[in-house]
Amino acid sequence: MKKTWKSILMLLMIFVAFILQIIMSNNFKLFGMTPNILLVTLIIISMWSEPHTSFIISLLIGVLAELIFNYDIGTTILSYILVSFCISSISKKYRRESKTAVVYMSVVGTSIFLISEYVLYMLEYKKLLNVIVMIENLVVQSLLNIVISYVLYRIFEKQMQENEIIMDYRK
Amino acid sequence: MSYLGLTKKSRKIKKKKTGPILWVIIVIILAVFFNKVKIPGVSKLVGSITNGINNVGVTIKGISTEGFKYFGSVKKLKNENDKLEKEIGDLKYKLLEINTLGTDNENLRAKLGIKERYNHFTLVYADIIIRNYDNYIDTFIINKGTEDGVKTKQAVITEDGLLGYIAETEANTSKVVTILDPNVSVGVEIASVNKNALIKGDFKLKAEGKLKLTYIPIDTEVSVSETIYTSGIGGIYPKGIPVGIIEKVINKKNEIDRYGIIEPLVDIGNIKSVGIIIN
Repeated sequence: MKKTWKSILMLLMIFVAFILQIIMSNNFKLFGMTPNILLVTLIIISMWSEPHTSFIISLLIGVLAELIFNYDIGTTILSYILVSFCISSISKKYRRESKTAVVYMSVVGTSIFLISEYVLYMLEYKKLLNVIVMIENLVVQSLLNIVISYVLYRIFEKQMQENEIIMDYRK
Repeated sequence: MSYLGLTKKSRKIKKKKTGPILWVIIVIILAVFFNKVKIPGVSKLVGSITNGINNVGVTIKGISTEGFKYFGSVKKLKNENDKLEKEIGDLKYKLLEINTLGTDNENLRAKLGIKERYNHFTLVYADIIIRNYDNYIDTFIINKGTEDGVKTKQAVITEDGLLGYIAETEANTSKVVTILDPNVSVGVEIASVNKNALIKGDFKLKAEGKLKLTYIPIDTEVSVSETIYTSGIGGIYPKGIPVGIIEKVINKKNEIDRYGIIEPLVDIGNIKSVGIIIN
């Protein structure tokens, strides 16, 4: 029952994340960058889940994101999968309830995503891109994602705790 | 044995049934009688009883009347409330309709602007439905596709100038790559000197919403604030579409390496409707 509820909550999170991402992409930019709600959602889900669960979720988010925003299946999926795998592996060492862990995971997740996209982009287009610009992007995007992930995490953590899911999930 | 056609048993039942009725009739007659004759005590008692009954009746009637009135007024209030809520709903809907009309009007004006400015082209008008959030590319999806005559490698413009080209198409939607994308190059003409150059999307300048002007011919004086137009070379963008204004020129040791920063005429981050040159 709890697992069913958890799955429903995750799917709901993903659905809301897509809606928010579309709204954000169409209307909001900070320092020329749009907050990546999908990435933040994936980081939070990966923190809660085992690697195989987060792999499936990352695949789902990746495929949908590619189809909705890019039209075709591309390299973004690989970046999402890599992020989910790394976060779900690393997060075992940290307390998920810790605020520091959320900040740390956001930075790690964003860094992995942007570096992976950077490398994949260069491989795909056979074009060298400015590393300094990528680092600048990384800093801005990380800051944006820390704020969003913290807010989202607080909301969903409360939800999960109220339903006694977060505590029991890994038992 | 029967008595007046009735058996002993039926007589008993009859007696049992008629007994209370008889007593009630007697009490009523006595009450009426004593009330008229006015025997002190008895008439008072009877009066009190009848008055009491009457009061109870009046009270019940009052309660029922008031109750009906109360429920009637509640119903009336509810109806009024429903009516007011409906009116509020209608007004909200009208407001929304006005706002939508305002936005539509804005979009139509933009489309009219495109049409007036580029009346020598056959255009299809579209609205942007989804923008990409990627850091490395700059694309968006529009609500027109192959069914509307849109094909890949067609130029996309707005009232202000060049926006990009169609990269992919579906039946009812298409993907537009903007000129800010680092993979996009546009052949342009520096009108004042009648020389061609190339505009490129740049990874660094993309965040600032600017473009890079490269391959500026040697011995060419490039003036800042000059508007540059598409040259028509390359086959995607027709000649004469304004692209941007030269913001500054960065000079290098070798003149061949110098480049310019271009401010696009189109506010790419805020546009809502576009025109696709299909012919």
